[in-house]
Amino acid sequence: MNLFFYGAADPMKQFEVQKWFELPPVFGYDISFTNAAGFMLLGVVLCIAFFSYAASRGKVVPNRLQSMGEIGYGFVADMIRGTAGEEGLRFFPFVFTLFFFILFANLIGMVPYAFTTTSHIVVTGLLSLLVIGIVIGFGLWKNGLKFFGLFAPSLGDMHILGKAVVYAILIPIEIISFIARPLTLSLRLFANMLAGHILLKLFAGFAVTGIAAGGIGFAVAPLAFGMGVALNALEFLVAGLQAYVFAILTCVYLNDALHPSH
Amino acid sequence: MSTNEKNDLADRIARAKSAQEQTDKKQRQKDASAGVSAGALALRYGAEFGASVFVGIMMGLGIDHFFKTKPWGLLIMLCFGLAAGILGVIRAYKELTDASNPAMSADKTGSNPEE
Repeated sequence: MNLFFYGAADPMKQFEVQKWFELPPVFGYDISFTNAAGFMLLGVVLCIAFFSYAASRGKVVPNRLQSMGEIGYGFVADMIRGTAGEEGLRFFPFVFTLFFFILFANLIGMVPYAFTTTSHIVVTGLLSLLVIGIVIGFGLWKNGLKFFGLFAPSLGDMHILGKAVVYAILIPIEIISFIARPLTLSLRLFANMLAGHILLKLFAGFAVTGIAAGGIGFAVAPLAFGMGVALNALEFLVAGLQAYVFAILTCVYLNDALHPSH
Repeated sequence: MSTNEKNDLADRIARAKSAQEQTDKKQRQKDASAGVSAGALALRYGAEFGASVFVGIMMGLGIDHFFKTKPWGLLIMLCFGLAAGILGVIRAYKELTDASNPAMSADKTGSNPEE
C-alpha cells in the first residue's frame, strides 16, 4: 500500500525514458526505440494526419477541422510577417513545422500516462541548436562576412581610437549574448513543461495520499484536487503559449539572419 | 413622438457601447496582467541573465584551458558574461514593454494567482 502510493506520487517517474524495443547498436550508439521516440513519432503522425485531412477537402465553406488547419496556417504566416517581414516567409515551412511539432508534443503530454517529449532538454536543446544553426548558416550564405556585423553595432561618428575601445568591450558581450540565445530558447520550453508536469503530478498525488492518510487528509485532498484541476487548465494554456513563444523567437532570430545590421 | 423615440434609442445604443468598451478594456487589462506576472518576469529575466553568465564562464574556462592563461580568461570572460546578462535583461524588458508584441511577455509560472 505504502509502496504503491509512493510510486504513484513520485513526480519524476513520468519523465523516465524507457525502451520499448531493442535495436542493435550502430557505431556503438544505443538506438533502441524508446517511449520518447515513440511519442515524437506519434506527434509527427498526428500532425500529418490532421493537416492532410484539413487540406484534402478544400471546400469553400470549411468544416471545423479544415477551418482549424486554415487558421493555423494563417496564424503562423502572420507571425512571420509581423516579426521578420515578407522576406521571412521563405522560412514558413520551417517555422510552421517547428510550431506544430512542439504544439503537438506539448498537447500529447497533457494526455494522462503520455510522455512529454518537450520536457527533456535533449529535445528542446536540439531544436534550438537547429534554429541557431539555420540562423548562422543562412546568415553567412546570404550576407557573407557582413553577417558578423551582428556582433558590431554601428556607432556613428566617433574617433577611431574610441571605436576600438568600445568594440573591444562590446563585441565579446554581443557574442556571449548570441551564444546564450539557444540556451534560453531551449531552457524556457524545457523548464516550463517540466515544472508544469511536476506540479500537476504533485497536486494529484496530494489528493490521493490525503484520502489514504485520513484525518486532516480528508480536508486537504479536495483542495489539492481543485488545484490539480486548475493547473490542468493552466497547462493547456502553457502548452500552446510555449510553442508560440518558441516559434516567435525563432522568427526574431531568423530576422537577424535576414537583416544582420542592427 | 418618433424623434423622441429615436433619441431614446440612440441614447441607449451609446450607453450600451460605452459599457461594452469599458468591459473590453477591463478584460484586456486583465489579460495583459495575467500574461506578465511577477513569477513569469522572474523566470524570464533569470534565464536571460543566468544563461549569459554561464556562457561567459564556459568561454573563460575554455580560453584558460587552451591558452594556459589561468585564471585571467575566466576573470575577464566572467565580467563580459555579467555585462551580457545585464544587456539581455534590458533587452527582455524592452521586449516586454513593447506593446506591439504582447505574447513575448508570456511565460509560465505564476500566471495563476492561486499558485
